[in-house]
Amino acid sequence: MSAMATIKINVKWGKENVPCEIKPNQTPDELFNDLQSKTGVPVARQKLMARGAWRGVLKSGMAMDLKDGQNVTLMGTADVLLKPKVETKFLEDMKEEDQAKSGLVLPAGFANLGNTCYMNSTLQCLRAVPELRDSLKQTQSQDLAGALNSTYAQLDASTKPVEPATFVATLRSAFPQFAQRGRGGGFAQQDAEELYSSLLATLASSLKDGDSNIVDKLFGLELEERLSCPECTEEPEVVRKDTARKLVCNIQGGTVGENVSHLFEGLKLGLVGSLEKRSQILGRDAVWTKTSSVAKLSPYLCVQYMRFFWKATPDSADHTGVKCKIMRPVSFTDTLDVFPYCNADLQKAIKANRDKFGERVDIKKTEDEPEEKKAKMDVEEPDEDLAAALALSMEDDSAVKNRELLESCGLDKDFQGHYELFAIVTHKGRSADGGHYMGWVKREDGSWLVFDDDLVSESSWEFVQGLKGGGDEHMSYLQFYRAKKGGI
Amino acid sequence: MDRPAASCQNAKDTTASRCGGLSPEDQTLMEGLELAVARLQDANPVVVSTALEYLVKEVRNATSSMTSVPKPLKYLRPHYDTLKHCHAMAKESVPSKKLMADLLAVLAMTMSEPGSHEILHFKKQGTINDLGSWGHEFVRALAGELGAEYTARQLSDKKGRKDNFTADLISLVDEIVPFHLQHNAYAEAVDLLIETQSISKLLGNYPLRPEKTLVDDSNFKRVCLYLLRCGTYIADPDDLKCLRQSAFQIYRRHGYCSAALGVALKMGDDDEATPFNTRCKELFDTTDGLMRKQMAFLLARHHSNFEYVEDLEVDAIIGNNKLKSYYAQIPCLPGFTFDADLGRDLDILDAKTPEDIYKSHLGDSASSRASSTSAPNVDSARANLAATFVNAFVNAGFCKDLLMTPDGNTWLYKNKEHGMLAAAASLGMIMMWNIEEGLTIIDKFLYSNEEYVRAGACLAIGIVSSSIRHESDPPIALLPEHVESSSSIIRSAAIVGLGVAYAGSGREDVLDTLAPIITNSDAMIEVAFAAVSLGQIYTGTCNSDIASLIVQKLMEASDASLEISESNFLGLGLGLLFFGRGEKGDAMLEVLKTIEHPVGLCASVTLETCAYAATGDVLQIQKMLHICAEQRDSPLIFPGSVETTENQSAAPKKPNLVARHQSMAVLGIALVATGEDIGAEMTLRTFDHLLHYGEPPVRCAVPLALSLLRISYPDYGIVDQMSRLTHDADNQVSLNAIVGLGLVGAGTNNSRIAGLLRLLAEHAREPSTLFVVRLAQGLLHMGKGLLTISPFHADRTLISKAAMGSILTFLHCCLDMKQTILDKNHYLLYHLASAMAPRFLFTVDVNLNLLPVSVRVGQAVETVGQAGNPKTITGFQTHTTPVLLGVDDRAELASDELCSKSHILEGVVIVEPEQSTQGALECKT
Repeated sequence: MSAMATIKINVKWGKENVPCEIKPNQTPDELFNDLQSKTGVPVARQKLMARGAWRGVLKSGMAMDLKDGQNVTLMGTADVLLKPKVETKFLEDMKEEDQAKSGLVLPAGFANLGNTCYMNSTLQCLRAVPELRDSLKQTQSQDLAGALNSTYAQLDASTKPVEPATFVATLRSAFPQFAQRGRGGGFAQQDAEELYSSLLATLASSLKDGDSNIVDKLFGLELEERLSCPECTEEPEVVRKDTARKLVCNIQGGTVGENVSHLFEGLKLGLVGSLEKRSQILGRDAVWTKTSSVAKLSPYLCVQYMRFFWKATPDSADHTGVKCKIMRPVSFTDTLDVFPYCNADLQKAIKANRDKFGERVDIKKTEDEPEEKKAKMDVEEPDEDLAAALALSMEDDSAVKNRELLESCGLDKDFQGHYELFAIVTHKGRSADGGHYMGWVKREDGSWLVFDDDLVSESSWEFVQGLKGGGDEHMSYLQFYRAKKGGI
Repeated sequence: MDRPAASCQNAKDTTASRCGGLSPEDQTLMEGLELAVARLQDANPVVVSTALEYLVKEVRNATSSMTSVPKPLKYLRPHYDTLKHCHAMAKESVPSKKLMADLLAVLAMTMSEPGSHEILHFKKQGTINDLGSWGHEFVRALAGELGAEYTARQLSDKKGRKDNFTADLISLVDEIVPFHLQHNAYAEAVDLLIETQSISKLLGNYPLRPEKTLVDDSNFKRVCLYLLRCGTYIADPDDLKCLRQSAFQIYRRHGYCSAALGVALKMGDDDEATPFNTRCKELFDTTDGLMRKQMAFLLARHHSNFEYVEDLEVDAIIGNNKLKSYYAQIPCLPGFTFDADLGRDLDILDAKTPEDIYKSHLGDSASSRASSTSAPNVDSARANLAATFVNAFVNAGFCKDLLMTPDGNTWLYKNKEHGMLAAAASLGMIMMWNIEEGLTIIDKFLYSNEEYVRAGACLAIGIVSSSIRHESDPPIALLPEHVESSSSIIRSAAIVGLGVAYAGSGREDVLDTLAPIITNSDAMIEVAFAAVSLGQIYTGTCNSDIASLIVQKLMEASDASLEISESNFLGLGLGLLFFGRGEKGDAMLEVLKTIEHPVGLCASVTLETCAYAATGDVLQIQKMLHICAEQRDSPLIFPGSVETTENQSAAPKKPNLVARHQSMAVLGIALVATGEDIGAEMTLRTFDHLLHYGEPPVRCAVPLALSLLRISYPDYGIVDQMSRLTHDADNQVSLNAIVGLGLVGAGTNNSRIAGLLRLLAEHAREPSTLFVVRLAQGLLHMGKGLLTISPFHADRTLISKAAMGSILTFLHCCLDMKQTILDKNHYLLYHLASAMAPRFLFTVDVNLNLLPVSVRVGQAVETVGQAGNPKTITGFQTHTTPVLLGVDDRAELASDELCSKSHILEGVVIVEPEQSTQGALECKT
C-alpha cells in the first residue's frame, strides 16, 4: 500500500542518526540487513520501533507503513554482557562464623552477666595474644583453660554478643572470691587485675610446655632485687631473684612524695620499695631499701597502674580502712622503652643492638649520599671492612652472650627495648568496688576497638591517648604491651 | 458587618459620659435631630418630608466618610423604634416612605437586633440604586446580610425554586458587586457572589454600560487570584466547578492563557459538559504558537496526557521530549560558558559515587567498615544494593555515573539476585529521559543469562521513558513480550516498568496489556503490581473497567492469597484511579464494604483518602481521625463495620493486617490535608497527638505522613521533628522517620539533613537501619540536588497526579518495610521516577534556545486579597537563569524589558522583549 516511490527514513540509534531508504515493497529483512551493515547490530538483536507503522517491534513478515522522513528508533548493540572472572562472595551468604572471621564486621562482645565487665574487658585484651590462643587450643583440660578456650572459640564464630556463662561459672568455682555477692544480693564488682593474676596463675599450671609453661614464656618477668640497708652502710647488699607477671606503675608518689604524671616515672617508682628486715650487724630489724630491676623480659608485658590502694583509717569506728582510687592523670605513649628498668646485663644487650642499629642507619645514610662523596669514601673502604671484621671477632664472645640472653627471654635477637601498646583495660568510676570496666584493643590497621561488654565500636589512637585519667571518664588501669620486632 | 460600628459607638458613648456632657456643637446636633424625629410624626406631609430630608442629610454626611464619627447615628439610637413606627404608619402613597426606608436601613446597620436582617428588610422597601451614597460601610453591612439571608432561604427551600425566592436579593447583588469592584473591594465582591451562588455574574458587563465589563484588564488578576484561593474552602462541587469555570473564562478573555490552562488543569474532568481535553484543545486552537509552546511546557510538567496532533512541535513539548536537552546537558553545552560555571558551582560536572554521598570520612570513627576489609573479595549484598540505589538516585538523568555505565559490568555482578535487578534497572534512572542512548546501553542486559538482569533491563526500559511521550514509544513496543515471559520476576519487572513509563498517560494499549494479568494471573504479587501500574496510568480517570477488574479480584481471591502484604497494593491501585475525584469514588466504596477480608477495609480507607486528596476536606480528616482512635479490642467505628465480627475473629491470627487500615488512615490525613497550608499546619499538630496516644500501627505511619506534607520541602520544624523520631524506641517508627527525612529533603542537598543522616549511618547498629539511611541519603542528593519529587508545581497551585501516585506507592512500600524495601520488592522504589522533575527555572527565547536572563528569586509571599501592589517575594537575590528554585521560592524577572509567556516563572519559561507583545501580558504582577 505504500507509495511507489522510495521512502527516506531516519533511524535513530543511540546518539547516531542512520538514514535509510525503503524501496517499494521492501521486506523488513532487507531493512534489517541494511542496518546490520550500517550499524553492526546483528539482525537478531535489532529492535525497530516506529509510531503507527507497525505494532510493537518490527519482525520479518510484518508490513511497514512508513511515511517519508519518519523517525524510527533502533534498539540494539553488538555488545555482550560478560560475567566477571571472579565471582563475588557475599557477606550475607557466609555462615556466621565465616562472617566473624572475615573482618568485615566488628568482632563480637561479651554480654554482661551481672558485674562481669572486669572479666569481659580483661578477656578481650588477652584475646589479642595469639600465642596464648594457640596454646589454649591445644589444651584438653576441662578446667578454666578449657572453658576459656571454648569461650574464645564461641566468640570467634559469632557476630552477636556471646554470654560467657560457662567461663564465669568455672571461674567462680575455681576462685570463690569472684562469686562474692554485693549489698543488693547480685554479684559484686571485682578487680580486673586480680582476675588477670588469678587467671594467669591457673593457666600457668595447666598450659605446660615441657618444664616451663606458656604463661611465663609470654608474660613472665624475672626481677633482680637489691636490698641495701641505709641505716647501716656496712651491711652487705643482698641480691635476690623474684618472678612477676606484670610491672607496677606507682602513682601514689612513693616515699619521697614525688608527683607522677607519666608512665615511665611511675614504673621507676614501682621498682623501688622498702621493707623491714633483720640486720645481722645491727642485730635488730631495720628498714631496708629494695631496688628492683628486670633481669628477664618477656614478649608481652602487662603494666598495672596502682590506682587502687587500701587507705588505713585508724580513726574510724572499725579501725580498718577503705579502698581508694587515685584519679591522677598519668599519660602514656604507644611505645614503652623498658631500658631504664632493666638490669645491667639486659641493658648491655639492648645497648649493643641499639648501637648496631645506629650504625646501620649511618651506613644507610651514606649510601644515600651523592656519588662523589661515596667515591671519596671508597678509598678508606678496605680499612673499614678490616676494622669491622676485627671488631666482630673481638666482640664475638659478648654478642653470643647477648643473643642468648635475649632469646632466653623469648625476644628477637635484634630487640632494642621497645614495646608497643596493644590493649588496655580501663576503669571508670570513683570507687574500686563500683564503676565500669572496658577493654580497648588495637587493630592491625592501627585503629582501636572498644569493647563495652556487648557493645563493640571503633575508636582511634587520638581518643585512646586521652584515657590517662584525671576526670570522671575512663582511665587506663591495665595496659598490655608487646615487644617490637627487630630493629624498628 | 455591623459589629465594628456598634462597638465604636459604645466606646464613644462612654467617652462622652466620662467627659461629663456634650460639646456645644454636639448639643445643637442632638437637639436638631430630636426635633426632626418629633416632626416626622407630624401629620403634615411637607413638615415630614423636610424633617426627613434634614435627617437624611445629616446621616449621609456622617457616613459618607470612613473616618468621621457617625454622631447622627449615635444620637438617633434612642429614636430607632419611633422611626420604625413612623415608617410603618406612613401610607404607601407617601413619596417620602421610600426615603424613610432608606434611612432606616442605614440606622439598622447599628441598631437592629443581630440576625433580624433589618437592613435588608428596609432596603428592599427603599430605593436600591445609588447605594454608595450611604457610605462604604453600609454597603458592606448590606452585603453581609444579603449573604446570610440567601443562605437562610437556601436552607429553608429544598425544592430548588430559588429563582423565585431570591430574585429580590439578586437585584441587590447586581447593585453591590459593581460598586465593590469599582472601589477595589474585590474580596467583598467575590465573597458576595460566592455566598449568593452567582459567580458567573463576574463575566458580565456593568449594568447600564454594555461596553464595559465588570472585570477588566486592571483587576482581573486580583479577582481571579482571590476567586481561585476561595476555591479551597468551597465544599459544594457544583459551586466549585462554577467558580473555576468563571476564572478560566476571565483569564482566557484577557489573554492570560497559561493561567487559564492552570485553572483548566485544576478542573480536570470534573466538568462533565467539557472534559479537560476538549477545553484544552479549544484553548490551544485559539492561541498563537509561542503561547501554545508555553502552555505545552506546563502540561509537560503536569504529566498531562493531552495530545495536540495539529502541531507536532507543541505535541513533542507536551510529551516532555525537551526535558533531556534542558536538564542533563546543561553543564556541557558548549556555547554557554556560564553554564559550565554553574555546573562547577553546583558541583554537578562529575559523576558521583555513593561514597561521595556517604562522606564516611567525616564521621567520628576513624575507618568505615568498607575500608578495613581483610578479605577484599567479600561484599555485602545489602550494602551494595544500597549503593546501587544511591548511585541511581544521585546520578539520575545525568547519563553518566561511575558504577553502571563504565565498561566491564563489575558493579552489576557485585549485586545478588533481586539486587541485580535493581542494578540493571538503575541504568534506566541514570539514562532517564534520554531514550535513544539509554536503550542502546540497556540493550545488552536484555540478553543476559541471568533472569534477574533481564528483568532489570525491562524495568530500565520503563524508567528511561518515564514521563516522556516518545515518537517511537519504546516501552509499549518492547515490554508486552516480557509481560508474558515465563519467568515470574521478569513479568513483575515489566509490569512495574509499564507503570513507571506511562504514569498518568491513560493509554489504552497498556491497559490491554495489563488487564489480563489482573484477571488471569494466579500470582497475587503480579496482580498487585499490575493494579498499581494501572492505577498510576489511569490516575484520576475513574476508569470503571479497571476498577471493576480490581474489585472483582479482591472479591474472588482466596483469603490465603490476600494474606501477603502486597495485596494492599490492589487497594492503592483502586485509590489512584479515583485520585482527587471526590464523591465519584462513593459507589466503589459501597462495593468494597462487601469484602470481608481486612484488605477490603484498607482498600476503602485508601480509596476514600485518595479521592479527596489535596482537598483539605475537614470531614474526611475527622473520619480518618476516628479510625486512628480505634482501640484494637473495641469494635470498629468505620462505616464498613458490617464485617466487624469477621475482623475480630481474624484479629488474633493476623494482627498487622487488621491494624493496617489505621496506618493508611494516618497517611490519608496527610494526603487530604496536603496542598493547603493552613490545614496542613493544623494536621502537623494532630500528628503530635497521634504520636503520643496512638497505637503502634498509627504511630509508625506518622513520620511518613509528616513527610507527605513536606515533600522536597525541608522546613526547619519538620526536620527537627523527624530527627527526633529517628531515635524513637519503636524500630518501625525510627526507620520510617529516616526514610521520611529523605523524602522531606529529596533533591535538595539540605546540609542539615545530610549531617543528621551521616550521624545515623555512623551509629546504625542494624544492617537494615544502615540500608534505610543510605536510601534516605540517596533521596536527599537526588539528581545532585537538581531534582524535586514534589508533586506540586505552578506556585504550588497544581498537583501532578502521577507524581503524587508514585510517592504514595513509595509510602505504601514503607508501611511494610520488612516485606518490601528490606526484602525483595525494593525495585518498587523506582516508581519515584515518575515524580522526578528538574527544579530549575530555565528561560528560553522564542526559538526555545536557552536564554540567560536575570531573575530575582526569593521566598514566596501570599498576596491574595491584599491592597495595592504588594511584593510577591521577600528576601530575594538576583540570579541569572537557569536557576534552582526551592519549593517555597518564587521568581520574577529582574528586567522590565522582558516579559514572560507564563504567568508563573517555573520550569521552562519563554521570554521575549517587551515591545514585541501587544499588551497581551505584563511581566510584572
